Amino acid sequence: MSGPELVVFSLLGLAGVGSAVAVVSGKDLFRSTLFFGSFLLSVAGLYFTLEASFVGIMQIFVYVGGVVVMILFGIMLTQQEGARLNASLERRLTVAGPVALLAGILIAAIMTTSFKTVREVPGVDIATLGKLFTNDYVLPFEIVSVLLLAALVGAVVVAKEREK
Amino acid sequence: MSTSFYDLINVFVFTLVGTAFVGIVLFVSKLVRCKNPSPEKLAPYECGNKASGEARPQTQIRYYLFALLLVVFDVEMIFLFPWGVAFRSLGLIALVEVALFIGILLLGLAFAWRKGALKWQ
Amino acid sequence: MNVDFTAGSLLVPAAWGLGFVLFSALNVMFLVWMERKVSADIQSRWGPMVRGYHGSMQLLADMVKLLIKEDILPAAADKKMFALAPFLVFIPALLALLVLPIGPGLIARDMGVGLVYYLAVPSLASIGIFVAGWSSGNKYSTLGGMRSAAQLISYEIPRSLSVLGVVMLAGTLSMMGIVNAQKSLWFIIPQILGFLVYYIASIAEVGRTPFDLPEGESELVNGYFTEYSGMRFSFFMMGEYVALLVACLMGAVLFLGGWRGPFGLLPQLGPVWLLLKAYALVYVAMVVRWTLPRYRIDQLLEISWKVLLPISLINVALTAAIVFVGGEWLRGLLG
Repeated sequence: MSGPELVVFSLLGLAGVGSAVAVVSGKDLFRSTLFFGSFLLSVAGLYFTLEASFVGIMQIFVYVGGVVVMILFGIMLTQQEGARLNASLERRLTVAGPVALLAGILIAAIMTTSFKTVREVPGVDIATLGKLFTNDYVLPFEIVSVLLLAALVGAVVVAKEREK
Repeated sequence: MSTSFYDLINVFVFTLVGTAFVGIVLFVSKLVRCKNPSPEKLAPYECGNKASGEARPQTQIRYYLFALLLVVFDVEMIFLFPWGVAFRSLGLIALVEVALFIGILLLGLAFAWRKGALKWQ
Repeated sequence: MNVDFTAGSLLVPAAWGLGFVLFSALNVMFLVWMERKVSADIQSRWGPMVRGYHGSMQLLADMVKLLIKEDILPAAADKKMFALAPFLVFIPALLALLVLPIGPGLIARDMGVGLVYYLAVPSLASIGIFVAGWSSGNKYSTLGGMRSAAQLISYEIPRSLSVLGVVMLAGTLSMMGIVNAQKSLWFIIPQILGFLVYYIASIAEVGRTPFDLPEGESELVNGYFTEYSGMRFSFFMMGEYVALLVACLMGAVLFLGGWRGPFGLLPQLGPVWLLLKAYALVYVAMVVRWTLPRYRIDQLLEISWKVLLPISLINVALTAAIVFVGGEWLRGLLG
């Protein structure tokens, strides 16, 4: 990565980190969700600079177009008018502690794992992805649909319970 | 050759052009339009009545349920599009695998249907 | 990595972007005039007649009026979000044009993932709609915004599935590649089910009658843009009309052979064919709007999940069957 690519990559990284900070530091859930959306967009941009355009566009399709909207509906479901986040410091710290610990473990694991790295990112053909799904990775592929089924059934059951 | 990097640049530039267009038009409008606010004008519009109730009422779970359905099927789409692209060079076995994949999800849809989750009560 | 990044890398897309902005603005003016004329025709009226030939200058007058109209910022509104929403609604519609092939080799950016980009990006307007409704501080706006967003996301699934058949036949996600695959056979013929689902779902996603209940005025005043006025309001209208045009342009690209004339007639017309096809689709959408009554919200969502989704899955199965049975003959036809 060099020159303009590096510039764009760094800008996207900064935008991502900035949005992430805005998500957790904001007091308005609705705005936090929008910043979460802009964080996801920056990550999608990062995928594009890494030649993974399909992953990038799916990031937008599923996360920004789907998950963010879902969270917005979730807020509408749970928030009362004018409700703002004003948890006490102790409560914040009790949540922040375990989260920081988890993040630390994750970062340590990522830093110590030796990933296979390449100098030139190969542009992955989408057809190759399709072939891999149906040949080499057919079992994970089918398991994904079982997982989705579980999510769907769970959602329906929870929603129907609440209605009663 | 870095192609998707240029995809990104194009999207950036388009976004900038669009933002500039909306911004400039709104700015020009700001210069020429009149401004004469009164408390009545700035009140929430409710057909002449005084606004009652909350502006952001708590909503039912059905909206959330439909959003969740969307996410589940969006994820399904991620896997179907690469298969669609490769479809003509793949054989019958791949088709059966994908049919199984869709079939399992359809079970979920059928479940939601039977439980009345696709209904808007 | 070799990147030959020059000023042109920025200026060329900027020129395309500017071109598409002008294109959108002109077409929106024409579309609004056309809508008024079509509705007048259906209701046996004249429609605008005074300004210009058959009222063709009416829209210029309307533009000026909107420009100088007072902009009301409701006291209860979340000011920043209220100002942000028109951007969030208009820009996704414009961004979709990035992957629109308008002639042989003529495209702003032929992305490898073009089709999925087209499916993903315009639907981001749902967030803008949500923001508009939420920030207005009016319960009708909030409800309208939520209904709009719910409708948009419900129709996204059948719309995405309906074009899967096209992908299966063309074997690519590049919009240019999809047009090229229709050299001898427009996809509307093997994909008639897919086309119908795409068209219905697109009309619903743009929120037009019979699917316009987010702004059902008898229940929700004017939906999510109730509190908007003047120029800000007009950006919501513009976004809506651009989205309609984009949906029809893309429909022409995906199913009607794009810039190709029927039977290879007059290939030099190129972009004109594309516009003609898109406007034919727009015209049908307008006639539908002025002849059908509005659906109820429960009917609306049931149509998406219980009718369109199964049909689009049947279409995928049929496409697979056609390819396996058609074999060599079809392969030759698709090139």
